[in-house]
Amino acid sequence: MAKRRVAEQQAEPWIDPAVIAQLPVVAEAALALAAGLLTGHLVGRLAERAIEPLSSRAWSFLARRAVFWTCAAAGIAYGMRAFGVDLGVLVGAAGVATVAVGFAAQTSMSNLISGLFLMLERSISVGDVIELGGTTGEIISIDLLSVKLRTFENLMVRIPNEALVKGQIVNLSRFPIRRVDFALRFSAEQPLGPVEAALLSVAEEEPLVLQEPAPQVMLRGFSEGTVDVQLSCWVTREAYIAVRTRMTLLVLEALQRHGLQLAAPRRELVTMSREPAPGLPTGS
Amino acid sequence: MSAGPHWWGRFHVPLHGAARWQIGPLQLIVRRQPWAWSFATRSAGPWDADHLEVASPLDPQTPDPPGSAISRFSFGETLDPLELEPRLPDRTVVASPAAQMGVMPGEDCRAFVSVPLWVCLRVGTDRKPAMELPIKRPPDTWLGPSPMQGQLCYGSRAPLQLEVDRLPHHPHRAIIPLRLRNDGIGTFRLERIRMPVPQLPLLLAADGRLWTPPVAVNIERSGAVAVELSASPPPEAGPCAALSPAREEGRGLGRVMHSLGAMFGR
Repeated sequence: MAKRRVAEQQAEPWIDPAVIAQLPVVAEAALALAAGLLTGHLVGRLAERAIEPLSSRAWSFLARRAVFWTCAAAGIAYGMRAFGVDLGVLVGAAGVATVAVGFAAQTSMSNLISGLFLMLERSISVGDVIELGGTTGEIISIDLLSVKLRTFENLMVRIPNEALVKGQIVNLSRFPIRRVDFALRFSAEQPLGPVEAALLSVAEEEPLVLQEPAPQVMLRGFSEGTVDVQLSCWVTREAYIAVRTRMTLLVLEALQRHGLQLAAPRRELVTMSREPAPGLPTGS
Repeated sequence: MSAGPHWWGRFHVPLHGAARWQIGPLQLIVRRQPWAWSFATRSAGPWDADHLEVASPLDPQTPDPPGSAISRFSFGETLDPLELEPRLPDRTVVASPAAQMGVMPGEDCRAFVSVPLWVCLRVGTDRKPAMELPIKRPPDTWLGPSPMQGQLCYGSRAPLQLEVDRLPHHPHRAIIPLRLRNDGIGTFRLERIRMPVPQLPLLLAADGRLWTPPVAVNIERSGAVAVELSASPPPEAGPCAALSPAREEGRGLGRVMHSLGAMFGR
């Protein structure tokens, strides 16, 4: 009897036959997932390479991620179907989950969509120097949720895409040349001919100031016994800081050399006497 | 060719010695140590300064002029000779006439443009280039239809002239002859023109003046502009010797078509 029981025990397989029956299904699902991931990786790379010459780095990166996750999702869906999971139910559940996640991640979704708009608009790209809300820096990356800036103090600033879409971005490096202005104030009695000649001679002597568009001296207006004058010069965007600094010193030197003085705002105070007019009663 | 003295060529600077050049507005002091060449440069004064001083021996203890830029280049052993090579500007130059000029249809215009030179310092028998600098940096200028579109060029302090003798003659400037023909329908107003300087070689005439081959510009009936560059010296210069090759050698030679905007900034 005992011998018979031992023989039966020996005849029993060490793996459950039900599990063995599921092995092809598991293999099929694993294969589908691997194929999805691999296809996504390869096609994503191809899409990135194809789009990069035609568009910006941000768009090609986005295309690569989109292709990867689409292929991966297809692989996962195929694998789940092999297990007999009803995809309709899953899609329904995903819809409910999306609504829930959407409510929970409103800010992230807003940034994500803003990021897409930013990329569509192409108002900024990696390497541009921008100014936004008092922060100035070079764009080092444009991601799905945020833009990273490197400021001139070498600090990294992360700006959510939503803030970029809502705010006013000043792109300082979009065009190859830009204007640099020097605002000056002179006394209203000061003849402006010598002022104009002195300022233009400084601009003409500075080789980094462009000959064309030509430097200009503009009259901005009068206020409090003074006249506001502006010297405007055009420079390459790379030379902007150097020219602004050097020209400020050169303008001051030129004014001193020509005996021209900058004016401070001036106000005249007239004191009125309160003495009564002769013949009028003084009151009690 | 001309007797000189020329500021360019090959020079001997003794070990532990120093020499000084004054090429118009540029002052150059060269010092030679056993393991390093040192160059002190200072470009000051007006662009048309004429002072010329070539390889004057200098007491090595003499301090560098204030405001000089110092560049040092180390070697296993510093070798003679030191060579100064004149070069044309490294960017296109925009020239303008002193007053607006019109070229009638079917007419030609001969004009001359004066451009500043660069100096390239080479050392040793294998002529290793150590550094290159402008004798007087010309101002930048923008050539294009708007501040958003165009190209950065050098401007010119000396206006374009119709007679070569009216151009200032300086040993640190070269003359570019321009031939402009208007085959268009109306009168062509010449306000400015882009000279393709990097594509031109530098030539030395018998009288010591520096020239480039002529630039022939033809405004065609269609509005396109044909620019023709050749390697032969201009007839005004007489026989010439090649002094320095074009920076973009071989490029742009022959007939090349351009738009009016690219050539005249319209």
